[in-house]
Amino acid sequence: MRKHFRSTVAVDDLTFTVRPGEVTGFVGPNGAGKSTTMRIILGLDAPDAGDALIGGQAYRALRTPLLQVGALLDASAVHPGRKARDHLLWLAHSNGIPRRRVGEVLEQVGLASAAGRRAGGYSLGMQQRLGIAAALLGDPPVLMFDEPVNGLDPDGIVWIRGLMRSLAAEGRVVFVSSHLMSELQDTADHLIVIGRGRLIADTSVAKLIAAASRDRVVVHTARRADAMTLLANAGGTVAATDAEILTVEGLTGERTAALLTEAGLAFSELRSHRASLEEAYMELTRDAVEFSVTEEEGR
Amino acid sequence: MTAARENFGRLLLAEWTKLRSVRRWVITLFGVAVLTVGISVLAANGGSTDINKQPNFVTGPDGSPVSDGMEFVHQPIAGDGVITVRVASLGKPPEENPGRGMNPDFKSLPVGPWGGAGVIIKDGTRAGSAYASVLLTPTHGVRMQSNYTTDLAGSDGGGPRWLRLSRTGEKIIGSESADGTTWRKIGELTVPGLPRDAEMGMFVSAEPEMRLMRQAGGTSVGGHPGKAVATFDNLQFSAASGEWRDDRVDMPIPEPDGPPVHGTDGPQGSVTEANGTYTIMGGGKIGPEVPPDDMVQISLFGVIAGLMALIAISVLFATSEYRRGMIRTTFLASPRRGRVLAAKAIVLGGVTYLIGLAAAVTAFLITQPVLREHGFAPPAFAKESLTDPTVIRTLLLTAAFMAGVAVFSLAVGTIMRRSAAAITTVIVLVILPVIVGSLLQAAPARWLMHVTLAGGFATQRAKPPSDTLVEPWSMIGPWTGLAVTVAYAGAALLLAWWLLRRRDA
Repeated sequence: MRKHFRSTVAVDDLTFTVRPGEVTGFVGPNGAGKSTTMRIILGLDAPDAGDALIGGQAYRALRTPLLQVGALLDASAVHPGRKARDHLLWLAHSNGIPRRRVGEVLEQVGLASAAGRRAGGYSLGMQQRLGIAAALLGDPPVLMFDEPVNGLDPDGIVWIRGLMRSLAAEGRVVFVSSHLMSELQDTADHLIVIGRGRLIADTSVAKLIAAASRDRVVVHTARRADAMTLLANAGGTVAATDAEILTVEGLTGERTAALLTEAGLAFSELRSHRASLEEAYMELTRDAVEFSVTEEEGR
Repeated sequence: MTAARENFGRLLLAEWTKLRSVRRWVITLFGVAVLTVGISVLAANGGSTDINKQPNFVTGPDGSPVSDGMEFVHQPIAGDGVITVRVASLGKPPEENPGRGMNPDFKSLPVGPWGGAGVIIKDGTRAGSAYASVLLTPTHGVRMQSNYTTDLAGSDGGGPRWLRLSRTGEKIIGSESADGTTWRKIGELTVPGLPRDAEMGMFVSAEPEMRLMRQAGGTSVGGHPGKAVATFDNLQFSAASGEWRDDRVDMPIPEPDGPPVHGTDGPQGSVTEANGTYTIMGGGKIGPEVPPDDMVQISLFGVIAGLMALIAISVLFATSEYRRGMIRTTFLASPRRGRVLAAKAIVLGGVTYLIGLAAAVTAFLITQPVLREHGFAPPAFAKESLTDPTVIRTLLLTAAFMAGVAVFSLAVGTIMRRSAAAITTVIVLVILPVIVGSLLQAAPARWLMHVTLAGGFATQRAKPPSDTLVEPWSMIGPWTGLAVTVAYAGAALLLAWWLLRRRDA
């Protein structure tokens, strides 16, 4: 699908499929088109070309959408003068969801005791929980969360990660967006990475790390030149990154240590460095950052 | 189909839940009723009239205010009788100074059918007594009339014209003819209060020439007595018993203190007879004299204040969706946007209709006794009752007008998406034409009421349209006013619907 706002292309030729039973992370830098994509899936924005289907149907064709898709877009989208219970009640009425579900989801997100308070008095974290309660109201097989961790305290973050994992374990589709890969590192099974509205990767977390990460060894030694020759001859790719520091790729830490010891080259420190998902992501999206500093300077 | 209806029912329930669950909105809706009733009561306490103490009317056979006056040439009649005459001419007497003292800014009001020349049977010569007549009028053709309110139309056109009035028992028949041989029946009446012994004969009357000036904040009505002169010939009277007597039927002149006296400065009449041709000059209006003030309208004065709160809440019901992106939650729950708008309009329209109706009925019930205390009482003003169809219509239409403005405000809120701008827009659209309309002359003001929302205030009128009141909307009928309101609400809803479907949420 494709969507533009005036001259800016927000989403361009984006195609992917999200499957049940796992948490699918949807990542990309700010402005990459994550929210726009979600709004198009949910029938709020109209795509210029293509379509977004949920279980083979367009969202606007769904008669009781809350029973099929639960979405958290903007947790503050609640009338401040309305009690949490009433907010969920009108949502329930609109899709013919029984009234008892209101109490159940409030219990589930831990807001039961605050149900009679007006939403305007809620903290950011409580609003986020209310938004999640609204998404869960129709017990839908598909859940979409846009930046759900925003505003949550550490306890809340742990809670929502657990919730997402358990929802996926129940066989639901859980599609969660974030601009920070670290938030998804321990939660997502599958990742969809976009940048500037284009698909960059559609892969499992393990594969992404493997593909993008290059393990390297950092060596501190006074005899830099000798060490470089030795390690290069042994098949490593060696770069001098500082006066006494070498970065070696293609050799494991043990092998590097053994080679240096055999040759009698003293070293003060040897570190084996394993790439994180964050780094893999940074590398993937380096060219796709919408508002990077260098780009601004280059203009 | 039933599933679709069930879906829509759920939407209505959802929108109703939204409306009732914001406490400030519920308070504001309550405030609509409080303002409407409160301001109406204030207005009723502030107004008064002394029209019953210094009446410009006499009391007709049924107790309603009427005007009576004519030059009456008559003979007594007991029981049945027929009078036939040809009205050979009807016109104005040569006047020495027409429209004397009249400001040229005054516009002449149209003359009604309540004056002319013809034949009449009447209960004596007292003003306000029961009668039946057949007459040729200056601008409304031939009429048959009785007891100041019944008015049957005969043929159009002027004289000369043969007229006949006959009484057989209780039955009175009026007929007309162009040539004296081919007769056409105009109508057949029984006249309550007309006794067996009455007076029958010829008469000439003429409605006063009323002129109106509308100016900033008020209207001025001026007038001078009308006068007409007519010639009658071919007179035949079945019960002729002697000489024809000439009397002037005249309105009493109100005296501030003391009993009314019959004045002498009314139109001077005269009768001359030559070879069976009677020339009669006279004046006076024989017809209803209902004051244009409308007691039902006065008791609904507070509607304009209630509307301010109503517009605010109605706009907010739409624009609050656009604060904080609520509209996305709404469209996630109900992706078919047209139906969401329809549900909102129905819920808001229904709720405001009921509130408007409750407020209007309450205001009516509280203010009517107050108004009666302040002089708006019989005979000049009939006692208005909640069971009177006209009062029921007025209250129902007033509530419908309020609901219409609410739906219009909702649509404008949806279109503009900004509370302050939308509220200001609707208030200006409702109030500005009222201000401008009260500055304009009658014709442009009436036009303005046909094309702006302020015309909807005409729903408060229980009496027929009148040009003589300050309120510009009193110049159009209540159904016209409602039609204008509905047109505005419908057009705004259509535009809102079209935009909702096109815009990204």
